[in-house]
Amino acid sequence: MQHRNTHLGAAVIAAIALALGVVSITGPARAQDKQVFSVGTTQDIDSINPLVGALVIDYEIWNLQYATVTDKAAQDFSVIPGLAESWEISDDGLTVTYTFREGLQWSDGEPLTAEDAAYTINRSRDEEWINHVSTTANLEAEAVDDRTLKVTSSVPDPKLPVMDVYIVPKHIYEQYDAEAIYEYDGQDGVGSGPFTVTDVTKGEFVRMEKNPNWHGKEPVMDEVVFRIFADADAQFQSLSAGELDAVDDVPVEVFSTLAADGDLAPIAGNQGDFHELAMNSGCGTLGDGHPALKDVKVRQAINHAIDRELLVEKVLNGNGTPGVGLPVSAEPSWYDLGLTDDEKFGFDLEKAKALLDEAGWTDADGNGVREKDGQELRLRLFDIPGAVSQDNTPFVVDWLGQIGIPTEVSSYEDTQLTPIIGKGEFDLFLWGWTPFVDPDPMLSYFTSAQVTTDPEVPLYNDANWCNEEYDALYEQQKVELDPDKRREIVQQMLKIFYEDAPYAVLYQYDILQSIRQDRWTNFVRQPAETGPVLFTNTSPAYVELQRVEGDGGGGGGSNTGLIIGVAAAGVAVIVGAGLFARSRRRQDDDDRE
Amino acid sequence: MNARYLARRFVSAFGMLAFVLVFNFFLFRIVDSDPLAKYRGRVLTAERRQEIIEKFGLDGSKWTQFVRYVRQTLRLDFGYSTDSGRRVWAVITEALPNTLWLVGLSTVITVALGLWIGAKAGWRRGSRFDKTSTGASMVLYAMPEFWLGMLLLVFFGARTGWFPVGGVRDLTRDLSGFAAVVDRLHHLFLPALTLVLAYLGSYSLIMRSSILETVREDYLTVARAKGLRDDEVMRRHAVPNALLPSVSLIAIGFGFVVGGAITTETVFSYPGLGLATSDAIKNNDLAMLQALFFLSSTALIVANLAADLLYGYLDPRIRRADG
Repeated sequence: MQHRNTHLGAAVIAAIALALGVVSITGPARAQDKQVFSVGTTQDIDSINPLVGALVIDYEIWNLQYATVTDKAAQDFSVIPGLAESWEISDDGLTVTYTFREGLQWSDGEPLTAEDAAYTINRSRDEEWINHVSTTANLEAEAVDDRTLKVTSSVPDPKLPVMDVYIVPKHIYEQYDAEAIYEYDGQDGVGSGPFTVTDVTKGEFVRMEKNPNWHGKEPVMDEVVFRIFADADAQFQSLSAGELDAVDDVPVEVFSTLAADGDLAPIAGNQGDFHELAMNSGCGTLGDGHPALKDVKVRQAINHAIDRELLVEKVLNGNGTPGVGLPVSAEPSWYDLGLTDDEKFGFDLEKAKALLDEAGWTDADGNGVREKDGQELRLRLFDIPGAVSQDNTPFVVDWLGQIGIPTEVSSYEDTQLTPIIGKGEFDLFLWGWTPFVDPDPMLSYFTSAQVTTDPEVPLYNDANWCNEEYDALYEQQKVELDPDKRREIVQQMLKIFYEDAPYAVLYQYDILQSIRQDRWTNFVRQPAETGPVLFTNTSPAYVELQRVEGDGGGGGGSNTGLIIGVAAAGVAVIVGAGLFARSRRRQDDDDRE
Repeated sequence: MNARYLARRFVSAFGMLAFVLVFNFFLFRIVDSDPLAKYRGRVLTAERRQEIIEKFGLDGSKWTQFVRYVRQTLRLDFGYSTDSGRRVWAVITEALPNTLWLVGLSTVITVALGLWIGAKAGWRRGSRFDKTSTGASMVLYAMPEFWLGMLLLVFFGARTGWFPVGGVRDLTRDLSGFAAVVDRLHHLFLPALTLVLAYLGSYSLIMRSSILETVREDYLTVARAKGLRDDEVMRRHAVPNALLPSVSLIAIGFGFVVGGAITTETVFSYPGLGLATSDAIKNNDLAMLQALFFLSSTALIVANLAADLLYGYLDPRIRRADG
């Protein structure tokens, strides 16, 4: 019976390994002087290369690794010095001359000059780097000398002097041509921010170490480690066990219990992330959207049939704000339209029914379904399985049913839903967006130019909504250099969007985070008071975090448990192996008899 | 073992492999979804878009793609993952050792422990040991793996702090040598325990019932008549004969090692092939899915073939009947 010996061998090897392990763990402990800040995230990294990645976790890493020419203030995202300590704007507003700080260096000791910035801006424009080009498309940059950067825009650009693209190290990037740059893994750890990447294992973790050449405030911790979790509940357990210092995605059900637990600070932060009920408003030429949704009255009726307050209470457990204007920026003042209650789409099923009657959709045969010209008002509603936005489905189905619009619900993964929307083969869907700081990108998504015309190339306008006035105003705000006037135009656009109702914005939801406040203090929110602390638009929080007095340890689990566990396992295996060996020997004796 | 028996087994294994190879390609293409959805709306030039499509082998007709897929797979070239843009093979070799450790070790323990419990319970049918172990086996066998894992995680991880809640190593400390090995084992413990408990029942119950079948066999009466002690009769005469039905179960168990443990790896955020599979499904990563399913099917087919051959070797009746 050869296979039995194999079992025995395996048991003995395991026992020896465990026994030796127990010995070494009870030996002298290693010095633990390093301060580590461990952050849990449920999102796996996409790429460390800022030309390739596009996920929230990727941005967080770049925000820590790459300094920008100008920075964003924590309180309100306003422009503040970054690599540049000052700047001057020309009278025509087209040219900005930035003066860089003295003695800037990359983390590898190479000098960081205006040439790096000019190189980044010009190359990203020419090669259309995805995370740069919306800022640099119309810019021409020139390094006048090491500390002087001259940027000229070919069109009036209201975003200037903001220059918040990640400046990449020329001495590294120039080794790669336009094609090779996409294969570059970005893992050489050369950066200009407070931390740089030193170690990455996809699906497991990203380790960042303090950059000795960072020009700003020195952070307290030596390392930031992002640990990737496959499950938000397990991640939270890890925080509560003390293995992590902070987590980004606290399950909604646990979040309300945090206040009672003194060690874990509950942080509900808002940066304009929202969910919407989108309607196929029929401007697209593709697909088979229900014709009723082309009528603004029907879309308004649907807006009136939604109790946003209730959704915030039931779906978000109160961690959010009922939606009004389209959240186009992480800064809420952009989309606060100042509407009175009469102007808003209040929850009013009677009004919704009246609007549908007016539009000619009536329930003549009394079967609970409205119809017009022999066509019934039945709509398809698509949602994404497992997404928070899906939790709205039963409410929406119920309300629409009450006003005589039965819905047929189907669920699709987001990768499946995108092409369906692109083909225009939908009526309603529940999904969401996360806005940037500048409203321009989000505003652009709803221009006619973004309506998909080729199903192979899905564009952004996923409500197939067109409005000429909106389009014209979009072009105006794009070149309006007076900030107040631009804000006025943007609000005008948002009012049109609200009235015309291609979306029912349900709510802005809070990002639920938690930090161990028994270890860390001085949490900086972005924007002030309402924003999250981590995973914000510039992540200023890391350098501001302070240790709580008298707390020495950092992020490790307890050693007692390790010793108990390993010793128990070791003993069990040794005893087991011993018994096995003994019984074998006895058997051999028997054989000899 | 005669040549005809061998040839038949090999032909059927290769047939199955060929089927998997073809089926794999179409299985993941039934769902009409866009593997390049993550590039949606990005500012891309037409050329860059074409480059991306070509890199991931999504250019040309379905037929062209299929021929290319077969050719590449036969050379063990699985292409690029649409999710990470990295070579599929690189992603797999990174996750494989973690899975081999976790699932391999726990399978060895489960098999050994399960067979021992089953044999003892069957031999002493109706005893307290039998009642307890059979009851426990049933309960554990019926328990969803992820739920059991979550319970263990909450209790032995978060509440008591005895074991880490997830991952494969402590990232806050620099460990090397034995300390690093112990740290790995410490992280391995709870997910391995979950797998052992969850699958113990399948081995112990089968073993118990096949021992019960052998109990009344004549050769046992003969063995007893020779004056052998009871536990010797069990170990040297009953168990080897009762092991036969377990052979294919054990082989399949080891075949599954390469597939990873999807739910357990997810609960414990353990970066092995199971977690890679669930990520690939979530991200609609065609190339990854093809490679993972091809590998795990291959492992199963090979394990099955091994079981067949072993069967023929262990039980002469089979090869005679077959020949």
